[in-house]
Amino acid sequence: MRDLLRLTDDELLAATRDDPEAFGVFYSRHVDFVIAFLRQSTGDIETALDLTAEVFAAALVASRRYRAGEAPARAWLVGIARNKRADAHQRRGRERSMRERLGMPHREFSDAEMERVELSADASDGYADGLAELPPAQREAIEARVIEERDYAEIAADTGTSQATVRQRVSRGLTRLARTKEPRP
Amino acid sequence: MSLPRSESDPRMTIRADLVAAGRRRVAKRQRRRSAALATIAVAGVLGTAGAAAKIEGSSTGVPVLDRVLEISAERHPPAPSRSRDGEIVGPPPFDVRPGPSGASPPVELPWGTDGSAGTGIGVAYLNRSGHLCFVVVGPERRADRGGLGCTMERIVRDWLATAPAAVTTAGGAGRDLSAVNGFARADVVALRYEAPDGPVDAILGEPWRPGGASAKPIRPFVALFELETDRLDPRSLMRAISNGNLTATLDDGRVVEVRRGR
Repeated sequence: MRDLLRLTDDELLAATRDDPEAFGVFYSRHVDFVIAFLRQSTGDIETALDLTAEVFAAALVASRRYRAGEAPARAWLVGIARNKRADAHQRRGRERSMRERLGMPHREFSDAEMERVELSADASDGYADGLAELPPAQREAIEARVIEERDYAEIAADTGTSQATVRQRVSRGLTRLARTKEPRP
Repeated sequence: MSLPRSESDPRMTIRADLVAAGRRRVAKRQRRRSAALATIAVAGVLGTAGAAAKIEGSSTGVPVLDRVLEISAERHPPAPSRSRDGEIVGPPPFDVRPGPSGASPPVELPWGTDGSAGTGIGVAYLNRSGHLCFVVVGPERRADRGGLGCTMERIVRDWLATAPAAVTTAGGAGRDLSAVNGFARADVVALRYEAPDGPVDAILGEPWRPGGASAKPIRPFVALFELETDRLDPRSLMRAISNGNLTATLDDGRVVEVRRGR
């Protein structure tokens, strides 16, 4: 039997088709990051947790289409998370959720359970607070470049700006983030 | 990362739900592998269907595909439209047999989205009534479950005059497995089809000249993709499949998107 914990993300996603436990390992590896990312952008842990379940359900369905080497798996997850966040924001509920498609039950968690997740998300959320305080253009540029690892050209095309502008936003944002992490007198 | 081993950790609950959902999908796929190819629906541009029950004097070059055509002819005997006094009106009877120019090189089709379900095979040919056809069998090579789709050649040529590739037929290829096929210009080196659940790479056949050496070469293609058919009603499903965009990469490196209305 394979030791799934030793597999790379790409290998786990490839193995998911025949071995769902591989997806479980992939989930465990990234769930806190996704929760932190969604909590930072939605503002509350309950919504973030709900969207996280939806993100991984979508990732499970889409895992067979994941192409190793095109982008890191975490960037792929962030792309799904952004789409789910946008869907939730625009209340696009015409199609059934991915969890429904998969026959997953709808879960409601107690405040105590969510607090536990929030504490854990806080611990893995090093970038979130500082990022939230950045101007939106800088925050989006950093998310796209640093977290999602997208090309400057692609980000520039998406945002209708030049590559130079995107580089400048990333650079200034990172500088500002670094300053917020410096010890204060 | 260390997750608490408690049953009440929401993350562990979601993980268990996901793994259980994955197991259901694996079980469903294993059942599906025994399902055979369903007949690929013929596009609406097809005229009257039917032909002689025996394929004589022409062949696809692949015996099991010849048998698919024989079965198709048996199931849909020639039925030309006639007026009240018995005069034949309308288009000539549809003749399923390959014309004298023969068939394209066989196209091997890794079945399923990752090819794990075996290899089907198909060929394209120009039939005797001017239709470009594609005949296919799945990995079980059962002729009685093969598929055939035909579209008038002049219509395909019109489409390819304005776009590098065109879908001609679409339909089911087994339980939860769907297929589109069509034709691409010879300068297309790669093709992606945007299925309702995401893009898939189409399988391109070798360039081939339907109708003989003087004809412009084209390439048949097939895209196979999984689709959970309970997601949409059948009409919406067919519309979604038929309207999927194509992205063609040409031999000079250009990438051309063929938007088809979705």
